[in-house]
Amino acid sequence: MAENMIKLENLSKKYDKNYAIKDISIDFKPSETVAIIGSSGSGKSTLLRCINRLEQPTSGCVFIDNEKLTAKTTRKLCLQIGMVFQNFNLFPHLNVRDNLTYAPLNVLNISKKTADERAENLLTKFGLLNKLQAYPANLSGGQKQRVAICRALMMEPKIMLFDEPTSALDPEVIKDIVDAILLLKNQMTMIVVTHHLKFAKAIADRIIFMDHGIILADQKAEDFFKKPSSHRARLFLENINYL
Amino acid sequence: MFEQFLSLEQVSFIIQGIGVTLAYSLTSVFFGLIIGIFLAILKVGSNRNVRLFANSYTSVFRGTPLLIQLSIIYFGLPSLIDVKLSVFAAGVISFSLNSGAYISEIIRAGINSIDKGQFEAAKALGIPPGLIMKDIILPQATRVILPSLVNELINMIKESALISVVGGHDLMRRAQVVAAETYSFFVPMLIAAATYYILVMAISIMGKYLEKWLKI
Repeated sequence: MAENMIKLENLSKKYDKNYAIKDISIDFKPSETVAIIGSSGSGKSTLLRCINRLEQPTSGCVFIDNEKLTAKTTRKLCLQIGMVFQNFNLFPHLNVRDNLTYAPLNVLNISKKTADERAENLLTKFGLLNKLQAYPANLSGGQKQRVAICRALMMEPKIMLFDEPTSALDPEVIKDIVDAILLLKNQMTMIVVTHHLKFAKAIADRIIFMDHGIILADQKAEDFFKKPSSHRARLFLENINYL
Repeated sequence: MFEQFLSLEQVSFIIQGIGVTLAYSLTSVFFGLIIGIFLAILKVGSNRNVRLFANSYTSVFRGTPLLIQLSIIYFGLPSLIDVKLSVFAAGVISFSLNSGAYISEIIRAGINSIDKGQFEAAKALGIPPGLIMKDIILPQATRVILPSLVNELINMIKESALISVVGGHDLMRRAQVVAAETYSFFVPMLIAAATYYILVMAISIMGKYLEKWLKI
């Protein structure tokens, strides 16, 4: 097994003259669940989106499973990366089954039978089998997000990226997403960007705290919540716990 | 007074122009749609030169009169290269090229109306760009595109009257022929106008039904 599943080297992303992320070097181990937290504008989403090239970094390198991400290798390497978005981004004109099976059928070229079986197994696992024929418009927010997780898992990725997966959800369904992520824990590398501290605490082994495009703290989750290694992170925790 | 009224044959001669008018406009919008989709994809693409080409195309074909475009293709082209186009071919070619320019803008606006997250989700799943367009974006954009496309067809039905200038036997031309026979313009033109109007109404009603049906 590779020592690092993902390795970022001096990664920067500049918009006009401002750095969204600045000179970030960091590793992610296989089967580790990492939460990246920070206030909005801290660059946490940009960092995540540079990993699967939804954003083109201005400089620096990304290595996936020890292979460098370049224009040539992007498509092949990004097939190992699943992504879940804040606004779900399910395909509204396709039902749940087709949302799940479209990419495996057309990108991985697996058979219809295999794809259907895989979809049914995943939906069963996440308690959604009865929604197989439903359209996204007829699902609740929590159901949509779980379908979106299933859709990403259909590609059997080694890495899952979650970009603010709970921000558009009602508080009472956040537990569904926590359960879904815990179900996958230790089976793949998961990176979760969130500003929801309790959520991060519930799922993460390791916390990365970002502010103004740089990493201020990178600690085991239990240590971070007891004694954050950065003053700025301590203030962030205090401000959030205030409410 | 009596010369104002037409014989039944003359009336039916004019109305039979519907077939010709529809042949021109439907064929032209069909090819215009193909040109339009192609240009729209170039317009939303990332290649700068290709975008420039597509935008210049639209600019030229929207910025000059259709009658001039038709004249260049029908009268001008034979003197430049050794081809003699039939009236129908020249009409369909110029109308399609012109319509393509407008339709490309309609489709571009439709594509741009789709949430960026749809592109990102599809890209994150590794779906190649061509399939993203064909299976994810365009089916969703159809709702936005369809009403304007019906509008474009209606426009084309009326604009196709220009073919009468080079001798296509459409509604307009037939009304002119009858008018010349009877030395009276009023009634033949009124009949042609009413026929155009009924045609356009029929298409707009069908468009409404199509919209309703697609919304399900």
